Amino acid sequence: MPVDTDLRVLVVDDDADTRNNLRDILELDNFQVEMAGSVAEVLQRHDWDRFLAILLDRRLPDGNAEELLPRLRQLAPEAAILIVTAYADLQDAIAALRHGAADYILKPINADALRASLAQISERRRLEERALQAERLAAIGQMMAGLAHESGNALARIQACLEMLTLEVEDRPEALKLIARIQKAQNHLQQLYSEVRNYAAPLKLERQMLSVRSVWRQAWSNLVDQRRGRTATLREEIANIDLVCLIDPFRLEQVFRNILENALAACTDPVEITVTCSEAKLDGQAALQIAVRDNGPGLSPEQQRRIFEPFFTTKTKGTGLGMAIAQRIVEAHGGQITVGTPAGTGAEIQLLLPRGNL
Amino acid sequence: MMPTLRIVVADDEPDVRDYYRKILPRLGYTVTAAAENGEQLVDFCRCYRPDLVITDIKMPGGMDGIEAASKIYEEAPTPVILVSAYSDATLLERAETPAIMAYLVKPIKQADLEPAIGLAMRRFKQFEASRHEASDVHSTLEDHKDRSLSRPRAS
Repeated sequence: MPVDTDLRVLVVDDDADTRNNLRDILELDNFQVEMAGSVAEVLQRHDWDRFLAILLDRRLPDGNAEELLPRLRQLAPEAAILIVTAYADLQDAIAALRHGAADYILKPINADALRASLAQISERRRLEERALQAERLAAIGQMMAGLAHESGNALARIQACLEMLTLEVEDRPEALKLIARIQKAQNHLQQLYSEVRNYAAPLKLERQMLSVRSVWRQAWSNLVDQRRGRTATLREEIANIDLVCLIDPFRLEQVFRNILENALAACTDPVEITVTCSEAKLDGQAALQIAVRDNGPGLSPEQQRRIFEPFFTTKTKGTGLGMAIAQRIVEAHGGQITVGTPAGTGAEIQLLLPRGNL
Repeated sequence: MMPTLRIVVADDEPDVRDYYRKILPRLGYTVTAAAENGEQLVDFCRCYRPDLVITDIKMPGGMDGIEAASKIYEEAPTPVILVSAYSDATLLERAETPAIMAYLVKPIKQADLEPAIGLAMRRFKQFEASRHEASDVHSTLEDHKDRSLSRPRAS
């Protein structure tokens, strides 16, 4: 398992051979290895950042692991402490686990066992970090939603004052032009906030048995403003296949709208977007697979990986919530949305929708 | 020529009240009064008997725009346009008063206000017509009943 390469490991052992042996193993795995031969040497250190693990010999000339453990936990609270011990001292090593050591390693050191132990620690660390990150994101998300929610009144006041100001300067064309520019910015802000609000709002589906075709056609026809002045066609390559699923047409239209809007933004004219459908299974149940493919430049590996991430965008306008919203809606339908790999160039988004109660 | 429409508005934001006072006359309407909260709105409607009410939903005090609309309707059916800072379906579900004719989401613009007022007035007219029709039918039926009841029975 690959480990984070800028992580450090501290080896504490009074035997130089053991230290060097450990360093060789660890350096092969790209750890930065630091070493100490005694308790005193350990306590002299000042720099305790970014230690993934401390390999601590149970017996040191000027003290033992049990005494040093609590101190180390203070100095490097994030580091996992592994007790290195001879078999004869195993009971004591196990006791050390109760004092906060993460694991023990038997001498003579087996490189694979050491690697496995460190891999496990770094995996745990990664999961913890991810959970923390998710928590942070959730907090930010909540704050954003609150902000977007509370913005309504302020935006309303700005709008009210802008229109009143327009009346005051009706005879001054330059001032009116500036007001028009403020109005444009205000509209943009309002749009952004409304998208954030929509993303944060609880999703309640009102589902009915309906042809998905009617939904994407509606989405396409509602994109009339975005298509104005463009050469863009929506082609349907549908064999003899039933397109009826249990869907919320209003929500699903938003999904198609966001996909089609992205396609229009990414492609140069003439834009050709193709919808294909096929029968599929989802968790053993009948499902409909819908692929929407465009003739644009396609998605880069990074885009493919991050397309459903909230606030990820390649456009200069927009919140980067479009595909995150789409994913949320599709998943609320019990379906899946993924990036397809089309034969030619172009981007492809695939939807998998359960048929529902047939 | 039609007499100008008399409107009572309500919003706790002075900016928005000023806005109504300035913009609505430009659209040919009269702002009879501008209330700061639900209670004041009900009082103003009692005093001025406006042709239309435009009210914010969330306002300080014990009575919000929806409750005020119900109270106004009880006293004298008046069409109401509700305005809210955001689109909120659960708030609207509470709006049971039949006199609520339109719903606008802030920030409202002159371009939204004009058609909403027209629509609200037309809808209210239809609503009133069918209400009268229903009450006519009702009273005709009542008349019938009375007459058939008062008809001397053959003994």
